Amino acid sequence: MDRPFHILLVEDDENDVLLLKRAFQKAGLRAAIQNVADGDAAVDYLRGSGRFTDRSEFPLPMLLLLDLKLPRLGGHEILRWLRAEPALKRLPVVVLTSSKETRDVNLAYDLGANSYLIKPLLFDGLIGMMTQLERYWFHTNENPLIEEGRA
Amino acid sequence: MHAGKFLTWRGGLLVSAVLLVVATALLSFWNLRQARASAQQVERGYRILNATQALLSTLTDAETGQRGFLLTGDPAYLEPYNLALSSVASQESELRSLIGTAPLATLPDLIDRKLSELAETIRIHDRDGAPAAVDVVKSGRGRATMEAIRVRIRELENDQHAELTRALQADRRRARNILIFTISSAIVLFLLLLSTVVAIERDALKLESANQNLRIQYRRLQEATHTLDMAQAMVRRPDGTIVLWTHGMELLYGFTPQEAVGTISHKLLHTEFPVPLDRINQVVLDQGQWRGELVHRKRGGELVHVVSTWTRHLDAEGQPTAVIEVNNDISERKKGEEEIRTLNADLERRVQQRTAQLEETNLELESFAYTISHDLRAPLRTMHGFSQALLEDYRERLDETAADYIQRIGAAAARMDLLIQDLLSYSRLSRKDLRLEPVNLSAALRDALEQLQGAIRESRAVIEIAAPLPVVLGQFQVLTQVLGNLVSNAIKFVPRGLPPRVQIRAERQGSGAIKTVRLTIEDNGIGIEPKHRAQIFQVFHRLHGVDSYPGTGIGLAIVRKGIERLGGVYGVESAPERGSRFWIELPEAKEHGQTIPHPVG
Repeated sequence: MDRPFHILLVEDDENDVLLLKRAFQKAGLRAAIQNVADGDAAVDYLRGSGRFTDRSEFPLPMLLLLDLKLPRLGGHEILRWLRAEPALKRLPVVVLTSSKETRDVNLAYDLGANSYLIKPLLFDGLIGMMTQLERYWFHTNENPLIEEGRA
Repeated sequence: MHAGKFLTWRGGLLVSAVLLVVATALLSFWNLRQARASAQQVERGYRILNATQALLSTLTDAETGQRGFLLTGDPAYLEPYNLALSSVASQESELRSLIGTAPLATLPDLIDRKLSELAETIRIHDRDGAPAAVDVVKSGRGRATMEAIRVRIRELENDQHAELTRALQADRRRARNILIFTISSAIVLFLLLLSTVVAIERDALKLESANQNLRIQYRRLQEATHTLDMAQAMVRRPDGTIVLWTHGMELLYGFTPQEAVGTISHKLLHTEFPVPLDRINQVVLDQGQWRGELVHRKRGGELVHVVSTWTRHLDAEGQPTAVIEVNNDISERKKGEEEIRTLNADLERRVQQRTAQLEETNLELESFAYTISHDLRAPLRTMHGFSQALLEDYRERLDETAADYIQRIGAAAARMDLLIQDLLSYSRLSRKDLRLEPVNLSAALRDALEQLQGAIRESRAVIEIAAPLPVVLGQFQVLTQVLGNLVSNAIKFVPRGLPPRVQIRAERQGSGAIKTVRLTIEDNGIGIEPKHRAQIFQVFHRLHGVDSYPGTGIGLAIVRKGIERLGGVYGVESAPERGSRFWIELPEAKEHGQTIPHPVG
């Protein structure tokens, strides 16, 4: 594959962003990670609106890594919005969050999440998890076609 | 009726006695007449015998005189002959009058012949002399006639003797019969008398007992009258005018009989009816009775609640003449009921308030747990992640002490995260709805052991399971967590260096409808002192320092909460240095689908 694996990470905690990027780097993964820190920004990015109009700089991701607890629009709301968007509704979404609460897990799946991951405490655990993630979603899994403005 | 029968029986006795006396009198009278008749017959018999003897004697005298004269020629001998001749006719006629002519038969002829023979011989004597007369005598004709007379008289006498004997025998028989009858009737009369006396005696006893009963009944009547007067009752005419007002009513309402009688009761008492008065009166008229609650006003104006019973009274023609109203004061009960109603309403309100509070608290708890999940763990990840980044990326620039410090920061963060996760597990157990389902203990234990794989391998623990384990009523995730915590404890609390040995077995308990399964997890660990046994199931209760035995102090609290939520029981038997035997007990699975709603708060 020529195109790098683009991941949009929706995460407001800078530390988590840093650790995640470090984990990808440590594991030697190829994925390119874009980050937005709140729900509104995530929606803008996915729409290609606001400051994210330039798709060469902000390419449409192949996978959304979504935290649930976010400022402004929460993770569940982003999911709800996304699944109602004709052009974007097939975008694979992996929830990456701290909450093990059944309510959160079930709601996420109800709203169309494709996977639900709990942020591991140990950094080694994070490296392992991200390695598996890239391998599964970009090599094992057959991804849908997402064509902006065509649907 | 008993008394009537009794009288009839006694009347029978009396009639019998009278009849018996009359019969005895009649019989005696008849006997008396019989006896008199018999005596007359006997007398006649004797007179006949006398008469025959006299006749015979006279004839013999005549013959003797004739003979003497004929032999001697002395006229003195003719004296008795002449005497006899003069009396024979009268004697013969007397005899005839006694027995009649027929029985005499030939006797008069024989006497005539004898007398004429005697007269002829005397005439011959006088005419022809003595020898010619003696010749006539010697011819025997006179003697033969005399003999015939004797025979005939003897026959008569014999007849009379026979008749006398018969009469006497009849007399004797009669006398015996009279004796027997008299004795019998005396005995029967005595018996009658005796039974009459007994009957009278018994009557007297009965009379006495009846009198006694009457006295008792009279006393009871007096008591009843007194009691009735104490009852809260009144009698009123159909128009409501009071005609009788008891002392009990006076005590209840304060109106004296003098004040109450003659007034209209509902006006006097300001009665509040639950339904219109006309309808109540109709019920009394139709059904004979009405019963309901009324509110009255006493003389002083206070209200009194009563249960009132109205009963219709009919006269002989079946026309309603009066209503008897009996009232029971239930004011106290009403007050009590009112209090209970108020209390209940208050209680209900408080329960609702409390429930609302608890629901709010529960919501707060959930959002609290949500916050902890998200926000409290993030800094820990950061601490842990960057301390590791420091150690990895800047190792050569750190001395041993710095590296150790950084290591400690990471370890503390890891420990705190574990604590938070355990606390969340514990609080999740309290909050979530548990749907009871049949859970295979073997499967739950397998999952639990899988999660503990690392620790088991590390400690070289030997886990022995008495498979297969039964199926219980529970919840799979909860039981997995509970079993995991118990096994984790069993392999953790062992003396250093000793490989843990854990034995897991289950046994069915109880009989009848409720059967349970007790699962026992026995270890060869350090054991627990008896005084600590209750505490170890409390949150954050630790018996050992983190350095010697790491842990959060929540594991057994989760066991307790989980088993409690599943409706089971749990416990531990242990002694220091002798290992511990933890057990949980749950209902054996029979059916599906029992929900335990999560408790609020």
